[in-house]
Amino acid sequence: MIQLLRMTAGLFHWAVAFGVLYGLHGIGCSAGWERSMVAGTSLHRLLLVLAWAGGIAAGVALTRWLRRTAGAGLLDRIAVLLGWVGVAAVVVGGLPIVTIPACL
Amino acid sequence: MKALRLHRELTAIWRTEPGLRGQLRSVNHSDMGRRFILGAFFFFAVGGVLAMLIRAQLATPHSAFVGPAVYNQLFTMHGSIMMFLFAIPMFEGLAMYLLPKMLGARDLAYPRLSALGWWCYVFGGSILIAAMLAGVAPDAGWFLYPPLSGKTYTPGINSDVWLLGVTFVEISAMCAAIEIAVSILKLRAPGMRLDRMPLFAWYMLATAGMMIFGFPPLILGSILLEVERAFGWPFYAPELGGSPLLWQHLFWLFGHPEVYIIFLPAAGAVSTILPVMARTKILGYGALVAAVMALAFLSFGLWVHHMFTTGIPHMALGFFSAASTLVAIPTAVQVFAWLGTLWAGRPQLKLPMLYLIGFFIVFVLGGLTGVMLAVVPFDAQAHDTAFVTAHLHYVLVGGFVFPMLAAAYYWLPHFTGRGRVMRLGEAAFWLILIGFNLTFFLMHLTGLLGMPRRIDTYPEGMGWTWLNLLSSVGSFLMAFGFALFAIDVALQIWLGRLHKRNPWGAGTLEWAMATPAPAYNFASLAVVEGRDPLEDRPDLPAVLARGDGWLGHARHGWRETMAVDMVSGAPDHIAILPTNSWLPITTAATLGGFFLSMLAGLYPLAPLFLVLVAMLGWRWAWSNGQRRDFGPLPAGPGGAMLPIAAETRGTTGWWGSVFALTASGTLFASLLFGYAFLWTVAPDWPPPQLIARAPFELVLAIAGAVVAAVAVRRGQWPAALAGQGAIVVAMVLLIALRLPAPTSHAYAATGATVAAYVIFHAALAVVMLAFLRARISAGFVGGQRQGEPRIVRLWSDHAAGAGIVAALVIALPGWFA
Amino acid sequence: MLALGGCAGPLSVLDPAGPHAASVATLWWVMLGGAVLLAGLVFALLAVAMVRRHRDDRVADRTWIVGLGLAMPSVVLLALLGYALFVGGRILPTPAPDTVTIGVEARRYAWAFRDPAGRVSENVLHIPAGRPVDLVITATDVIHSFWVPRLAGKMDAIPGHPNRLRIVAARPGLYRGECAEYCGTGHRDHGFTVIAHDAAGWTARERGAR
Repeated sequence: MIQLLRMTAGLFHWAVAFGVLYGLHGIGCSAGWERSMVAGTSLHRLLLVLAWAGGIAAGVALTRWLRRTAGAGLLDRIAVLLGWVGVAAVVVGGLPIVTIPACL
Repeated sequence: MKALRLHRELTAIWRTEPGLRGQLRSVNHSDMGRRFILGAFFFFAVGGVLAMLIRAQLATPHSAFVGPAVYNQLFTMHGSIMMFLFAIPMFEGLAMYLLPKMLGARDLAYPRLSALGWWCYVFGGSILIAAMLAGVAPDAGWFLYPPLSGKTYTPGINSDVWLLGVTFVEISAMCAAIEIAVSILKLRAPGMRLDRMPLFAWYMLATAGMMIFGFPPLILGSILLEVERAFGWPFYAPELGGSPLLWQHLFWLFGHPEVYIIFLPAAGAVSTILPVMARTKILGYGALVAAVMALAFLSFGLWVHHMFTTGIPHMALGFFSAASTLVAIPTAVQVFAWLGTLWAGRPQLKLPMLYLIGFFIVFVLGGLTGVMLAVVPFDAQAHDTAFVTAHLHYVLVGGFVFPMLAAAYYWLPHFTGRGRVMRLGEAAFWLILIGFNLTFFLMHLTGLLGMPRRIDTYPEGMGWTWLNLLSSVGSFLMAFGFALFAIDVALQIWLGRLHKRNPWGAGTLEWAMATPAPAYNFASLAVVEGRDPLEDRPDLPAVLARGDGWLGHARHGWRETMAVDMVSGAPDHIAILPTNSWLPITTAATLGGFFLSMLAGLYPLAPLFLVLVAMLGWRWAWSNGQRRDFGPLPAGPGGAMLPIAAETRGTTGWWGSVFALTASGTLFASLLFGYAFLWTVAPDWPPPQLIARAPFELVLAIAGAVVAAVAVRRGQWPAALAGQGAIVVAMVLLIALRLPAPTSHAYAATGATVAAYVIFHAALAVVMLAFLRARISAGFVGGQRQGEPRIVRLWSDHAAGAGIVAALVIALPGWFA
Repeated sequence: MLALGGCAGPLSVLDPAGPHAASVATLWWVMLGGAVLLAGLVFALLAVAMVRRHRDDRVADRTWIVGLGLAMPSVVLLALLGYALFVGGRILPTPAPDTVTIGVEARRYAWAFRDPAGRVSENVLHIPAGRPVDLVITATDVIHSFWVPRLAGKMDAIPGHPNRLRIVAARPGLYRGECAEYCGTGHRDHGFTVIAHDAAGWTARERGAR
């Protein structure tokens, strides 16, 4: 089971990051965070960018840990690969944060 | 000689009894697999006839063939049948039949559960078909969007038929998912490491995992909608703080993964059949496993792409659009791995391969239009038009039906032990392929010319007339093709000549047995040292039949199979499976009584059936286990000794509970998501009348949970019972005294549902604790046999944890009031 | 594009009459071109794999999986996603100076349009041509969907959730609209008409309101 969890850890991480971004976005739109400005951008976008960057950093850390502790087996190689897949999915998934108005 | 004696002894233990009685009591996985496949094909034919009626209606403008009222039932039933009564049961059947054989085991982990699933499927499907024949079939679309499906706009029982019938069938899907996951992880041949597992098992493992997380949101949504219809709790009614969008989220949270749940088993069949047809090994085993896992996860980030036009802010749509495009990449990895396999091998154009070529053509086109629909602005145009109808049929027929036809021809010799009679299969292929493309390729254009879905007639002058006529012609060609396929299969079953084993020269274990398969599959279980055990040892069938593998004996009348370590496949213990039983069919019939009394509006009667189900469940669990320790028993070649399941840890029962609780936890999480969603999105939230402050209930629930958790660890069963009882009392008080009336506002309705979830689980824990006490006194628990307390602890802890979460979620808003 | 003949029609997505619909139509033609190329590649590889006889020229596993399976679609899809987000962002109802806001209320089986002056018209939506029009769309009974294919994508009309959709008609004229979300037995006839007025006609309408 540990092996299977390691194998899918990167993807679980993507799912969590995805949920956090989507939830944060929804709460922000509902609470009107895009109207309070902080450091030249809206509070809403700032929080989303921070969450996105945090998600990427956590994914990189997770995957590096997976690689450091990996054995020689196929499942461990897949774990590292899927770790990077998770990171890439978080990167691509967050692109709308910097390209699209928040609550229209 | 030894082989023959073993065959007789094992058959006596494993066989299905003769006659009708035997059919009703059978729990054998080959029986269940065959039944699911035949049942699914029956429903495919019914759904196909409905499709023909739809195409007949749309063939010409201003058609007066059927009116809108009937037409709405036709398309609703076509979609619901194809999704819930054809596609899912079909792959479940294939998996049930094949998995134990491919994994080198004798049966699935919970044979009686497979039988229960089968009867739930039969009874639930019958409700839907009976309603259709009575003219009260569901008519709000297979997606059943409220408010249209609600009491106001569908006052009859049409929507109830869908909600109750489909939920009944989903019981079988959940049973199958848990069973498949645990069987793959635990019941394999010794030495079959995870990375030696046949790819089909990896695909099914991913599918089962997705079902465990994907179905609960739909089950929850259905329960909420039925409760709204029956008792007026306003989850989806905007005038009372509900939101129709909540249904859409819950439905598509299931509905999109569902597409991949249907596709993955078929892709698993492709990955199994294609290398055999190409006389080579699959290219990129590891890459395929990684791609399947990535698909299984990413497909949960797509659900909103069915809701691109519901007014969700564009940035949120962007998240889902990005995930929807990303999901194409693991699919591409698979497609090119398959192409590379063909390239490296020496493909033969045998019949299964012909159908695989059809799969490539149709599925790739469907995948490409799928990427288009992931693009938000384009989807805003194409959504709810014939373009989407075309796309989804390309994906589902290409990604499921064609591979299943290939699988049918590939494994039919295994089911029948016979060869083909006439070359009807080739003619069927061309009719289906040409008919399909004529029907659906043109439909892309029909959609872009603005024809919406679900209209029963259309005017002339829109440019749709000739397109629709050709689509209808094509659909009848396709129907002839499927009829020809059915005839071909029937001929092979009845007239085919007996055939040698393993006609394709495959390397997987399902071919290392006599065909048709004996009830016990293998007289002894293989030792696996590579990915193609049969190719590594061509004499394996004879070796196993002689009993020279693991468990090559008959003893105590036990149905024994090997349980292994999940990852390494090292022999772990001997699983003893239950035998033929009345329990599955009686339990399913009792559940049917519950669903029918709900359908008839006899609400006071319904709980009685649940009590009966609980009693049957008690008997079910009671019949497991042993009253004494056996100690390690001879299990393998060279005198290897292993304990039986009752005397060890990490049994299938424990893992089944883990997965069942994961599914239930997902349902609870979906409910909490609904609560949070309504709070942020629905109008009039929070309502003026919040919950009254409830310090007593909050403390009582948390204290009860802590007491239960501690006591269950120390084996203090009365204290654990009291703890769970306290949780129940706290939740009942919250609903009865503190929350506003559930019919008054969605806030109160969701709060009461959260509490009801906990009441259900705490009451279940109470029953289990009582059961455990009875088992201890009866001598089933004692000595090495400590598995049951461990399982009860899981359920008790889940109820306690949910109790704490629920108490906080319900009670805290009281302080903001 | 009208030269393609079959693409014209009163409800055709491929016969756009406004900038939003036009940008989506262009998007469609680009995606169609890409899809034809990719499908052609896959089918060609499949055909060659099935018939070729020289089995010595092995293509490396990496080429199939990393090159064709991973890298190629990643590049294509990232480009498409960027294009999609760009087009999607451009058609949003961002604040603009000369916007006209009109209320849309769907019910079974009619549409009520309330113009800025408060006049309600049934099943006929009057808009000015060449100006952005923001529709605030909702429904009173079940879910419907507002769709004028030649002007813009659709937007659902959901009870309790007012949604905003920006449409622009490039030229004065008559455009057909329909309900795209299944709403019951009258779904097929749940259509409406959009009349886009030239500047003079719109001014006259506004004057008439006063």
